[in-house]
Formats: sequence, structure tokens, C-alpha cells
Amino acid sequence: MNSRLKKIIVIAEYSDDRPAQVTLELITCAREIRKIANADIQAVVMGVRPESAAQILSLTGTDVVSIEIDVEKEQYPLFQRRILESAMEELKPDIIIAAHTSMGMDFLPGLAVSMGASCITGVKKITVESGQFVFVRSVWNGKFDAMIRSEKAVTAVSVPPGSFKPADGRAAKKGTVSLWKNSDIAEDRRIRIESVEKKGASSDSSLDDADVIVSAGRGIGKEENLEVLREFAGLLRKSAVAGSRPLIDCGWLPYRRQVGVTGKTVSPKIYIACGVSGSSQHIAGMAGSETIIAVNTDPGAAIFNISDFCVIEDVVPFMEALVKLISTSESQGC
Amino acid sequence: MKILVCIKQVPEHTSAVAVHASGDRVEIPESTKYRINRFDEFAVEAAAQIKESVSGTIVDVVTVGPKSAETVIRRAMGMGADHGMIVDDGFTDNLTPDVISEILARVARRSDYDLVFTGIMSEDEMNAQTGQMLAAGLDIPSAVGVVEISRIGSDGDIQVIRERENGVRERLSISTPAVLTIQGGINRPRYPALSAILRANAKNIDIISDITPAMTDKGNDRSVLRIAPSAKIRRGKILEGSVLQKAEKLITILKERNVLI
Repeated sequence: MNSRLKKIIVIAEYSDDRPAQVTLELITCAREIRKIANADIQAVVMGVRPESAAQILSLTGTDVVSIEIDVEKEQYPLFQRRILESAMEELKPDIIIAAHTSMGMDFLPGLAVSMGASCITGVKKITVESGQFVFVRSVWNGKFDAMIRSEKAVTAVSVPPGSFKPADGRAAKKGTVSLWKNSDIAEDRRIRIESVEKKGASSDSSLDDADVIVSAGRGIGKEENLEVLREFAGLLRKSAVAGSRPLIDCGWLPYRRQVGVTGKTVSPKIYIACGVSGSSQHIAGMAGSETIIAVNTDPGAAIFNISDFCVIEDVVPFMEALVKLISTSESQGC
Repeated sequence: MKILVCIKQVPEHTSAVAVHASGDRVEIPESTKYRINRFDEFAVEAAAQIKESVSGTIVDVVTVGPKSAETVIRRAMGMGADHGMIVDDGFTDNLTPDVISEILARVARRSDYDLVFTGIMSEDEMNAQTGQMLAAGLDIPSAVGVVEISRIGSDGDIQVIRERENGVRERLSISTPAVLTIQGGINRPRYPALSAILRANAKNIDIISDITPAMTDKGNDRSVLRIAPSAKIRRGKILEGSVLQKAEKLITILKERNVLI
């Protein structure tokens, strides 16, 4: 693929009649590409009542295709993918940009297969080198960045939320909105969405209110080692203990204490990451913290890239020494 | 019920993994020990649990990789898988998901699997594509990010819960055959009992050499130009000295910010 491309399609997500924040970020991503290559941008909004979201999205100055699907088809995700596939046949994109979300990751790889497109997921930056696009993505739990070149004519990319600034919804010139109806697509009912439920536990506010969050990662090794972190947190004002996804998956901490894309987004005064490797999923949930301190045995751990202070030590012995030192210096002070 | 679980080996620790001198791949030291990719381990456990609850269930486990991946295949067999397969090749280690999924599709077509499991992603490449592409290649449905397998119906329908964002979960009915990509936390992967490990060690592992990337008509859909340590976003002052000195420095930082009680 060379950089003189013709069309970029952004696949929108929306809820409550408004485009999702990440969709506005994808528009910015598409515009960054347009800065380095001549291109048309179109967004596709698909759903039962897509028009309001499509109108709002067009205020960013983007041309939007609004595809309305029948209510009874809403619960069949495979059916919706077929509709999207047929829309792509018509729109003939060179680059498809979707969000790296549960929705985007559901349809994008399959869509790429059916289109014979290259599929590059988790793209956080796009540049050009010698006339070719370079897609930058995190690998190895965020430890390295890989610079990738597509080997197909069409490239489908997924972009994680937070990778680009959202596009402004007050463009000088509104984009056009084309209204499409889903046409005669063969039905596919092999997957049916029965219900959508919200896990109640996520409403815990203890992490929102904390000034200091002591966060545990897999590096702590075993559940018992959470104790020293709890002890440490007990020595700090307005503190809470949280954890990264793998730790919650192990059942060591409840779901409501999870920091990251699939958990909570926090921005305390101080975030202390203990044995956290720093995957992009985790970093997205804590990057806004005022001061970030990390303790990790691996000097190459990705968490250090976002830290203000780095302690390269085996986390458990270090935290034990730290707790001991604070406790003894306190008693001396009395 | 017949289940195929697709697994991948990843290094047990990544601290020794570095950028190769060529700059376009990583270098993994010879001495590195491998384990099952974390999400694939959840997938193996999910299959093992179905085997325990649905009589007559057979669980096969497969990896695309070198013969030395036998270690992770045996581990999966120790957890409950009946048969192990390695699609070995001598091919280069940087196949992309479009090729891997096509190879796996060819493996899957050799048997009548009702369910195919993969982890939601690998910890090294983090593509999160193989399961969905495999389903597309086999033209069967897939559910991504499964956190619960609620019901296995005798009518060929299964019910699962998949994870969306912000604590939202979606309950799905899926007609089999289907691919499920398994999210972490769906279960607690067992530590295989010694007797199970010994039994697994005594079994044969099928080395599949008649399925190759060349047969798939698919080249890698992308190539890696460069690999580099990820960029620094904050200055990252390294606290130097002994453990005690580092602890003292950290206490000073906490005191400056007035958070010590």
C-alpha cells in the first residue's frame, strides 16, 4: 500500500444517540493520516436508530453514512457484520479504522478475513516512511513498540481508546449525512444477544476518593503478599489498594478494585504500582495520576515509561523494608 | 462433545527478552523457559471443566510452533486435555494471525469439533485476532471475551457471557460449532496433579507436518519494520542505592507530598 490512498472509513460506536468518545478519537486518527496522505474520510454509524448520532458526528466536519437496521436484527451480531461487509464493498475503503473495544474486536478480524485485508490491532500511532504507512502498536505487554507495514491493499486497524484527542464537534462546515437502509442481506442468527447486564460491583467509590492508590500486579507473586501492600497503604492518608487485571483474574482482589480499560480509570495524587508490568490496558486506567511511582524487578518493564520515580527492586522484599523503615522512623519520632 | 483448544507458548519471564541486533524482532535467550499463554490456560481449564460435567467430552489441544512447545502441550494434557498436537514446520516464528488461523482451521476441519477455544489474546504479540479469524475461516460464529459458559444444551446451543466495557456483560446464545475466545478470570486454572502429569507424559503427541503455511495461500498480512523499547512518557527518575537507601528516598518523596500519616 502506498500513501496516495483514496478513502478512510471510520466505524463509529454510539450509545444514547451520541457518538462514543472513542469514535471522536478515531476521527482525529483519520485526520492525522490525511495530513500525510491525500484522503477522503467517511464515518459509518450502524444501528437501530443511528441518525441522531450520525448528525452529531457530522458536526465534526466528517461525512457520515448512517445505516439503519431493523429492530429484530439488532440482537444478531453476525447479521450486523454481514451488513457492514456489504457496506464496505460499496464504500471501497483503503483503510478501515475501528475502536479497539469489545465491539471493534468482535467484528474487525473477521471483516478483514472476508475482505482479504491486513488486520493490525492496537494501533496507537500512524506515520509515513519512504511513502509507506507505518502502524505503531504495543507488544509484549507494552514493553516494546512494533513498527508495522501492511502487506495488503486494504488495511483494517483497531485503535485503543485514549490514543488520540477527540475531534471537535464544532467544525466550520458540517459533514454530509447519507441515510442507508440495510438491504437484502441473508439472515444469520447463529449468535443471539439474549440480554445485556451491568455488573453492580463497579460502583465502588473507594478508588475514586483515594489520594493514594497502592496497586498490585502479578509481580507480587502470591496472594499472601498483598498483606504487605495493605500494611503500606495503612501508613498513608486516604489510600486504597487496587490491582491490575491478571490479579483480579486470579481472584486475589474483587473486580471493583481493578484499574485499567476493563476496570476503573483513576487519577489519584500518587499512584504506586507494585509489581505491575504496565500493559497498555492498565496504563490507560491510571495515566492521569499526578505522580506515578513504580516498583518492579525488570528495568525494562513498561510501567517505568510512565513513572515519575522508578524503584528497580524485587517488589515484596522492598515493600517489606519500606514498611519497616516507615514504622521505625515513626516510633523514633514519638 | 468435542473441543479443540488452541494454545501458544510464551516466555515464563520477559525481563531477559530484548530487541534483537537486527532491530526487527525480539531476542529470547536460549535458556528461556516457556509456559502456556495466560489466557490460553483459562481456555484449557474451561475445556477441562466441560469434560468433567458433560460425559463423553473429548478435549484436543493444539499449538502452532516448534517441537519444544511439547512442554506446554503436556501441561495442558495434565490439566485434562486428551490429545496433544503440534503443527511443526521449521517455519519462521513470525507468522501473523491470518496465517496461523488458516493453519488452525485446517487442523479443525480434520475432526468434528463442536467448540474451539482460544485465549482472547497472546501476551507477546497481543493481536487478539486468531480466534475471530479462525471462526471466519471455518464460517462459524465466534464470541469474543467469554467470561462464563453458562449452559451447554443438548440441542447444540450454548449460552455464554462475554465481557464488554465498564462492567457491562452480554449474554449470548450461540449455535455450535463455534469459536469462543476466553477472557482471563473465567475460572481458576488448576495446577495439574502429579498423577495427571505422569499420565500426560506417557502419552504421544501428534506432530503435524502436512499442514504448512505455504498450503494456506496466505502470506503474512503485514511485516515488522522495527521493534523498539516503548517510548518514555514521563521522566522516570531512578532511585539509586541500596534497598534501604531507595526506601529512604521513597519516604522523602511521600513526605514531600504529605501523604504519610
